[in-house]
Amino acid sequence: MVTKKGLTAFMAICFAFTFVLFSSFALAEDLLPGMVDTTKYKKKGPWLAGRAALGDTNAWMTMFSLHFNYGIEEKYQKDFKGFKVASCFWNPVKQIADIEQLVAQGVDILFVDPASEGALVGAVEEVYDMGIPVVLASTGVNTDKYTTWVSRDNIKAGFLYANWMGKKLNGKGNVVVLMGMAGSSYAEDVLRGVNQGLGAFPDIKILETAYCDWSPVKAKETMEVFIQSNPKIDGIISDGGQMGLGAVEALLDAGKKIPPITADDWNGWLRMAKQHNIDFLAVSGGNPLSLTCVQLATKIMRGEPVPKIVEYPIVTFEKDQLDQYYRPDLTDQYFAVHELPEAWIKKNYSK
Amino acid sequence: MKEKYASFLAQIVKDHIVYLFLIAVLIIAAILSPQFFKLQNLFNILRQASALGLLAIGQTVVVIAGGIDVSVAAIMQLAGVTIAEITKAQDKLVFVAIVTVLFMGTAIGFGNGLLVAKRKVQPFVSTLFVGLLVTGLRLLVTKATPSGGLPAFIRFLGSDSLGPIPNAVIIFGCTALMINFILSKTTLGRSIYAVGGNPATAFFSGVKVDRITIFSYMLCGFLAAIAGLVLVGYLGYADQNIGIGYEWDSIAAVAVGGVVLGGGRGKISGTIAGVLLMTVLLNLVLILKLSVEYQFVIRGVVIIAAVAFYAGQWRWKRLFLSKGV
Repeated sequence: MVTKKGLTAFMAICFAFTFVLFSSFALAEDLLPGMVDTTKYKKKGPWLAGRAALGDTNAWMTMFSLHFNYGIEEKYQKDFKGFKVASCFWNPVKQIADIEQLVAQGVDILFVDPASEGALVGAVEEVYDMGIPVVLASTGVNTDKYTTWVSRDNIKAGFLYANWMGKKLNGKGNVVVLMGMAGSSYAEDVLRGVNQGLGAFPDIKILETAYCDWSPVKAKETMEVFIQSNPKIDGIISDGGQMGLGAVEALLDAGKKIPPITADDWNGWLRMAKQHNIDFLAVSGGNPLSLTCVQLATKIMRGEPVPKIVEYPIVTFEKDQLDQYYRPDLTDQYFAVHELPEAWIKKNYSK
Repeated sequence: MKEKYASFLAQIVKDHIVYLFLIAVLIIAAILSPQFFKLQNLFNILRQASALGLLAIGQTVVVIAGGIDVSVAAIMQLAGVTIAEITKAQDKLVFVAIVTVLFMGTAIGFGNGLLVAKRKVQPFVSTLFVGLLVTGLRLLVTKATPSGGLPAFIRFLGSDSLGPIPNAVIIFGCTALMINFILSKTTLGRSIYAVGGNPATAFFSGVKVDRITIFSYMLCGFLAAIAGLVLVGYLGYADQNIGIGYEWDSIAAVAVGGVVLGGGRGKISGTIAGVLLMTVLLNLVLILKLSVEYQFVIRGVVIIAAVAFYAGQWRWKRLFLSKGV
């Protein structure tokens, strides 16, 4: 015999159970594809952040680190109680040790700019399995055990170089290609993009492709050889301004006309482009993506969903927009596309 | 008489086998690519070789004296960055800047020499960590953002030519002649060989071993600073990363040139051939449009072969006698 009161209580329990069940389904459905549920990381701030860094050994890395520092020390200052940084200077073995040390110091969230896609897999997976959110900055790691990864689309950058060159040469001509480091996934991605882009221009011939390790000296030495062996070079696809600078120096020494050339937003390159009235395409190198990493870190620690992979947008500009980007009052090591306030720029890049 | 002549020829071949490799590479280059022997290309090769050549000459002196210096690339980079920082691309302070840079290079060499000669620190260890210290201080002071621009005079040193010959080549050639003279014709040179060959014997013969060791490192530091100026002048720009890896290239050039890494034996002429062989190979593989994998393989094979021939105990004399020379 079921009483009326008991039936009401039973109905109430069933209703509550159904509500909870449907609510959880509804919440799960709110998480869009490609998004990561970070509720398990939710923690009251301020937090201690750690960064296993590559090391500020070049202009790109220096500005990349400045964006990290600006994010932690100023823009999201209230959210963080400290920022511990260990630099491995491109040595993956040291970076693994750095990660272990940062974890031992009790970081709440870990940023990694990986020195290797393969060698860091174990270390990154271990931290992730310990329940510490991992934010990958720039280069990826061959695992899906990370929380979020912010990167520039390097294939797209190569495609943009090639597409611009194809249009600039009206679909016909001879080009030389200067890439970064042979065997690095970054350089191979950019080169893949260049080849994809030039596929649309069958009458553009790649005369030579060389890897110059982003070194202006190697680019100049290589370009001197190319000038000797190829009397007609109509365009230069260079992955970055430093190699572009070396290539242009070689052309100037040989008394040759400077053809259209691709580069990036590095101020040293922009100075040279201004000085010699060079027809160029600048594709931004993307060093401000580290600030996006910090912003995502605050969301993760608040338990808000974040995308698994974030593609940092590429900015391009040409000769006619040079005056908007070139800063003669700053050193060559400044990059024109950034997200730093003017005070930080003046403090770090004033001549 | 015939035997004496064969001995003489055998000695020349033994001492300069790297030149045979160089000539072989040049002949192959002539057959495979007519562009290689264009005058402009040859001057390009010499100009590209100049900075490494200056570095390798200093390294040769240190190695003959029984040491090794892996801080040379750090000194080079310091020189390039310092000249840009002091001059801010203006010619006004260029001579003060050059003197400062040369003094810094020599002072770092002095520090290396003191550590090796007086504190008896292993040369590889002391120069490795002095190099690290110099690099760290440079990054700290410049915050990895040096100003970059160079005065016209530095560009003149590294990029321009006096007549048809690039200035960098003239500096390299004069330095090579001068150091060769010191090593082969002076008491100082003989002392350097003696210290490298057997320091104890040299000491008992009255050679001031410590002073010679310190001198060799100071000279190496001085030449590394000049090499830094020539390299940034060649590029027309000073950057943190210019010169990375040059310490190993300089040691490789010295070894390829037949200088014994244990000390006491070797010649500047061998080192020059080693530098040229390495630079020519780089130029040739690019002219031949080889893919990057083959570039590495060919450069590696030729250089290993040259070193292996030096190391091998070949009976050159018998070869010449059997041919009836």
